Amino acid sequence: MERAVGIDLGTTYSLVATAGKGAARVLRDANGDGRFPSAAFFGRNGKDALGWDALHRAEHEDGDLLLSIKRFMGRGAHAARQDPGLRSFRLAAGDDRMVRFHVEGDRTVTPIELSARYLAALKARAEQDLGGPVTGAVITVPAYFDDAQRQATKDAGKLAGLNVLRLLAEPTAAAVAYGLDRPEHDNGRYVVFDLGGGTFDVSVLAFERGVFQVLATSGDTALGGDDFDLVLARMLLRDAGWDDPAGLPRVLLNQARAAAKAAKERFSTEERVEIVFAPEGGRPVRRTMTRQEFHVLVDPVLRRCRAPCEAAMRDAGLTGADLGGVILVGGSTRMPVVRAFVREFFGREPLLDANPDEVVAVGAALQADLLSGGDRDMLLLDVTPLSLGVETMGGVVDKIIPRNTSIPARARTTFTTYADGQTGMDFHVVQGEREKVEDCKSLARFKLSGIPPMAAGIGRVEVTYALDADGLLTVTARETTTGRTASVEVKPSYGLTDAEVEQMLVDSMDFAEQDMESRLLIEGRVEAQRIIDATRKALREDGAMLSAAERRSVEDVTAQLEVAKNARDRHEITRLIDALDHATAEFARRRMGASIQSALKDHSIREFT
Amino acid sequence: MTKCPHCDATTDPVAEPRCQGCRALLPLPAGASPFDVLGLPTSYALTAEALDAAFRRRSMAVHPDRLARASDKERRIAVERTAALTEAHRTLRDVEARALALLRLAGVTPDHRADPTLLADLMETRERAEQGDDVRRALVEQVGSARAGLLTDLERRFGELEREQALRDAARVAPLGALVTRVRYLTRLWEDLQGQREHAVHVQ
Repeated sequence: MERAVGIDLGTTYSLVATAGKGAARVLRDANGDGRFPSAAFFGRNGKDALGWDALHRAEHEDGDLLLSIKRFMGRGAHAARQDPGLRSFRLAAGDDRMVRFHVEGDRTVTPIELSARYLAALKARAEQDLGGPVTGAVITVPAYFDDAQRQATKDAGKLAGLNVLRLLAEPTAAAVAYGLDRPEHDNGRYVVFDLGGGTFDVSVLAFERGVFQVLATSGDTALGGDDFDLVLARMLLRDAGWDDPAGLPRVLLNQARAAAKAAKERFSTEERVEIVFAPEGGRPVRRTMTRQEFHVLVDPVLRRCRAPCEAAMRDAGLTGADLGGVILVGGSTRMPVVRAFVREFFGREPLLDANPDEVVAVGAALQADLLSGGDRDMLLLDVTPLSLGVETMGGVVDKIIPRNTSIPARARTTFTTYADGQTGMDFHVVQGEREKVEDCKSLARFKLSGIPPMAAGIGRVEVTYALDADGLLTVTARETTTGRTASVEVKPSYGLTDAEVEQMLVDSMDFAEQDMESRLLIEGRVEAQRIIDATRKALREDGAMLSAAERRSVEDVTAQLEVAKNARDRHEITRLIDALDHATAEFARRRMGASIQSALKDHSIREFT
Repeated sequence: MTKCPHCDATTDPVAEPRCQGCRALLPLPAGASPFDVLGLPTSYALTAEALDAAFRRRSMAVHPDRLARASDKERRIAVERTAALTEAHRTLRDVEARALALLRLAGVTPDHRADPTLLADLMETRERAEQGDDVRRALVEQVGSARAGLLTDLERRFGELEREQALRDAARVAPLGALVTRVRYLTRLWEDLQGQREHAVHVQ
């Protein structure tokens, strides 16, 4: 029996849902609550806690409460230092690729590890409910997450022992859950306005006969309900006599934030809220605030929703009048101030008949069922949120796959050589909307060599970008006269290599910080494995091109590399990688020659590198 | 007409993506045009709605997510067909790229260089646009309507060729090459005048 689940890995709360035969349902805890707070507490005394338990303990006990860590997924330490949040967490000396937090017990944890713990808890909930192991999961991500943030989420899934079937954009998931059973929506254009705890997405979709096509998406991966809480919490701390929250005890910050959040939630149903905040060592605060005063206070936060809404509507080529409706998703859309913004911006009443907390998980569950072979008459056509391009002369970006292109996708462009006798071409793959390379995110670099010498402008190189359904990019460059090719499967450097994920699984109990040396060793091992796999594959497929002696020599070096890979001397690994490269050079040339005869297909090209 | 790689039945993978015999997904024939990929007639006169509807309909038939239980071979075909579908949809959605696709089908390679009179015109217009916002706005109007006129022209002439079944006749299609090049220059000018360069979206 298939037991596929959909998981909404949220900033504030996470949920898990399943959709076997029939309707999808959210899986609940013993109290009937589907929500699992995305929170971890590392207490000075006693064990670590997750979820509700973590929140409860943090209000009475000293320790590290880690909240909203989704903001740091796929981000370097630099991003965490800039975070405007009230810092009740302690940053460890992280690096450019990943944020690390110090927690009690002299340990460090990463956002990926914490996310993996939340995912594991939801997996356990699902397995108990379904009575067996979970076979696959669709995990949702903000539509506007970039490559690194998506990769980090996927790594967290792997670390939690999940078979990640797909990463699905949250607004798309919500649209599926919302639209399926309502035939009157057929053929309409809809906006999903998704304001969660820490992220904001806006997507424009077309629904037609079971097909959900995303037309455009935009957002801000650092805007959400948390920002409303922070404004209010800072005000409470000021009223209590602390103008600068830096250096205040963590328990105090947690109390201020909890009071702010509670007040914010009451404004959703009440016109006037009495806020009481009586912290130890401060002036007791007791003030009555009207909804109007609250709106004025949070207006600067709300205004940040405007630019993404404009961008999505412009890219979709629509105006408010073209829409069939605006669907609200995310707990923060309960706030009347947010609904007023939506009403004003899109010129219509938002649709309210969806459960904004649960639709994302339900949509993910439906997609998980479809991807596991469930018989569902639906299809989601998602898009890539950010443009993918290549650096050209002068550091300018040439966009190959523009943002909002449906995935899977493929696009090609041709470059000519710029110098006489040029034999190689370097490619720099970038992601982002800006014109200049330094303003975009660098994803990968690779080189095409072996171009026959020609006059400048004569050599032509065709570059193909292929994006699969998960948004994973492969770039191939092919010189058109010789058919010489080079390609790279893009894995962003901020994510984790497979070997690192495995390493973390092994080390997950002691969270030891890896030093430079061990990272280089891991990278060497990954590279070694890649080359060993490629060589074995080539031998299996085209071994007949080699004489028995040639074959033996390639096999010998491969075996030596295999042994070195499992030892700890990275210099030896590097030496043998070079040796294997050398030993297979002639083999590669023969294979290349044979392949030019046959029409080259993308998947066969990749095998050469 | 080609043989189904799964069951050897005779099939037409352009008209019907799935084999009539075994219902498996068929690969695209070599050299399939963007029109073939979408299952649409070769024509310049296609509305955005018709293209979007064809894209969604074909996606339902060829997307790998609809084939979770299919063989690896069929799923590879699905990925290939879906990528081609996205590319074809994007090409035909853009009137200029659509015109270029029709030229290519006829074996016509347009000269991408503008003729000297057009170049002089373009430079003069750009200079005048520097005179102030009012002038620039007036020029946006003017260039926009000149471009719209050329597009109407293009649609009419492609329409004639289509009615006379001459869309693949290189000698008859060739004169449209210069017209397409002209449209492309005007589009670039028009966008520059509007300041329609990509605005940086708020990125964290």
